[in-house]
Amino acid sequence: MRAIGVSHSLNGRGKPRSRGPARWAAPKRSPHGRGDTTRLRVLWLLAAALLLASAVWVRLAYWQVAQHASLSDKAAQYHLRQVAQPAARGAVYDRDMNLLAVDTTVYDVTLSPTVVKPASREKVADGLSAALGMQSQDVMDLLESSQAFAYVKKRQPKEIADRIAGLDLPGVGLDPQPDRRYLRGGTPDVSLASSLLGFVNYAGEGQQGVEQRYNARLGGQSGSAMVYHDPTGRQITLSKQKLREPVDGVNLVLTLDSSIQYAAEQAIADGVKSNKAQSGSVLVMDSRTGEIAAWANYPAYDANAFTTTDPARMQDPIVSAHYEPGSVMKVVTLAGAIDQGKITPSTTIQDPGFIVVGGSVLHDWNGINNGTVTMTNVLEKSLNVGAVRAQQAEGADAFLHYLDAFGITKKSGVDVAGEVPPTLQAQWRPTELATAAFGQGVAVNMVQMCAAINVIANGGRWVQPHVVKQVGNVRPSLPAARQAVSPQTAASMTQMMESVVQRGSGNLARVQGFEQNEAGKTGTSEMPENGKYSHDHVWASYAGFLPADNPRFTMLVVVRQPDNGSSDHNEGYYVSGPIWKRIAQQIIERQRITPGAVFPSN
Amino acid sequence: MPPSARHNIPPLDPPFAEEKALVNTRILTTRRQPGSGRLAYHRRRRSAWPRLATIANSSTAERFGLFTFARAYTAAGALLAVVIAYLVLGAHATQTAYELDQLRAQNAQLLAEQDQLRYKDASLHTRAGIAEAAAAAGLQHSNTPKYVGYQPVALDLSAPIGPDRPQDAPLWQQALAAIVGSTARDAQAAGKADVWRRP
Repeated sequence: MRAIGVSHSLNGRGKPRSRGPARWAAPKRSPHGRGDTTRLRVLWLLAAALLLASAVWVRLAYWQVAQHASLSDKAAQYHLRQVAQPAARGAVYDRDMNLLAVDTTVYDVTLSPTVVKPASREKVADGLSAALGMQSQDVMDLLESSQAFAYVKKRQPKEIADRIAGLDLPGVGLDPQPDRRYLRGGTPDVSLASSLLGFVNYAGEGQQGVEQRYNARLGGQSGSAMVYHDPTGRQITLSKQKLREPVDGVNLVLTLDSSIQYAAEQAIADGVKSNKAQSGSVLVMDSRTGEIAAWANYPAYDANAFTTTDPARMQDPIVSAHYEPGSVMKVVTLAGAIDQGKITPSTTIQDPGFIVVGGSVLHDWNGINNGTVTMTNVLEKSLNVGAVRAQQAEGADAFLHYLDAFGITKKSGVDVAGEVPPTLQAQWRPTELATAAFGQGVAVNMVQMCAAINVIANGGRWVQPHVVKQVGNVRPSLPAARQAVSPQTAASMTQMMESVVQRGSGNLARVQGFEQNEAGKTGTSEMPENGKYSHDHVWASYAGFLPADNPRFTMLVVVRQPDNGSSDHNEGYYVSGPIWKRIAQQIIERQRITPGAVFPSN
Repeated sequence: MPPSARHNIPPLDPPFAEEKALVNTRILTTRRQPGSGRLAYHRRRRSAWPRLATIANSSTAERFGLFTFARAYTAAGALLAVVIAYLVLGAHATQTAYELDQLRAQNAQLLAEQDQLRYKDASLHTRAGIAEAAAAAGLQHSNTPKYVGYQPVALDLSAPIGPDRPQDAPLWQQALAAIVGSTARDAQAAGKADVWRRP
């Protein structure tokens, strides 16, 4: 009991236990009030310190957390650099694996004027001016400028770059750049097959032709690497890098035969010049496969000097421009009518020299009464009336069907950039339909027309014209060949086209040794100018294949606006036939084509 | 009771002449305090070398009896060694990187030369290059080919191709051929083929 009493009366230290809030009460105010003031000051100081600390922490959090990414990037810029890893562009070969286009290296000559000490400026200026063929003062002006970096001259060949490297000049750099080079063509200042190949601009992008069409495959995928640099700018390879390996482009093997291409370029250039024409084009195709062996234009351009080339010259008239095939189209018209069984080569008609269709009078080219003629005569003499009569016998629907079957109504699908679609009437009036029978009012490109004539050479089968044989190690898949007309029709048409060469308008295209074994057709069509057809400006064309009994190639020659003084001398037989013959002779030599054995007919 | 008696430990040293010793008052005071003196000194000295169990539980530093400064020196030394090793490795890596950089530049140079040569080679073999070389040598290419004159060849595929081949085989082969119904050579060849076909 006593212990309890003690515990109640004492708080363990011999003092009476205080009750209630007295224990936590504020200390007694001193007589001068100094205790409260001190506490208040301490509190204020604490609050101020906390505020300042918070401000610092908030600011730190802002820089370290919110601004982390941008500050890290800025820091990285001082020692980290993204280095492009360019992919090597694939080369282009012809069918015999001769190089047509290859990447070489050129060098941009650079200067860091701030690095060059004043005492060395003269040496640098003299060295660079001598190597680059510049005025020494021009280099000195760069050296005295306050620039940190300047280009002295771009895209210099390796020989000059080696000479500059040998001088060991301070502040001078050589920046390697890829440079696409093309081989010399058939005429001076022109690269081989420039229209077909196109070119590669300084950004590494293929422009025009095959270079543009296969740009993704040829160019590959460039890579990049984030690398550290030391203060002198040298790369520290073993540092932590983010590397994306480049994927090199694949090589392209074309169907082109560079020898035939060269011969075609020379022949068309001479033909255009001798006929005072505006331009001309040649297309040579393997009759069985559709592989294009030559694709030549005149005038063409030098793809190695594309920066100084007139852009108008870069347009490829073979695939990117229309022309009206003229009488070459009669092959399609007559083939359709024969295939329909409406006519035969020996079917006769009366040709008074004109025909009235839809209120319009359509004339033959010779303007005379031709009397009774066979369909073979129609083709030999290229009579418009006969073609219209054949189309009328065939019917409009069938005619349009055969236009489609011969590939006239849609793009050829050749694997070259920039092919223009044909322009055909949506609604055919009778006159338009009739003129289409002899190739006026139908605008096609040359690839379409060459493939259409090739149908006859290939036993009635249309094959896909193409220029690329192999992409890397893969042969591109092509649309299947299709039967446009029956083999019998093709054989009949071949005989009729042989007759054109032997007895008709194709006489100037006769190749020695193949006089009895060559098929062809001339064409002359007026050019539309200012809404009507011009009598002075024409497309003169010639299409044919050889040997007729076992065709090895089909060729189409088109010359634009020949100017030989008289309209007769501007026609296809006179202008384009001899060009066709000259190229055919070269192909015969190149491909060792022999005239077929002549068997007696018993 | 003196501490030695209390612990029943005999005095280790001969009688100690305290007055003869050159000690000051503080030392004496310390010695006279309980727990001090020779016994305590012995006890402390024994405890300076830890027992086995203690060794097993102590850190390496304690086991070897290293002083605090020695530990600091050791740590600093180890750190220095690591730093030096890192610097050596870093310098080596950087040097290797520079060498790699140089090799890359050399490789690029060689590739550029190879491309240059490839282009030159291709240029030499183009038709334009050949034509130029031929012109320089005074040669001229004729654009109008000439053909050898010929007579049309008349072949009759149904005509007999000529007399039979003379029989130069030995008589016995000819006799054998008459029996088996083929030429002796064919028979021989057939026989050989049979032999060859056996496994």
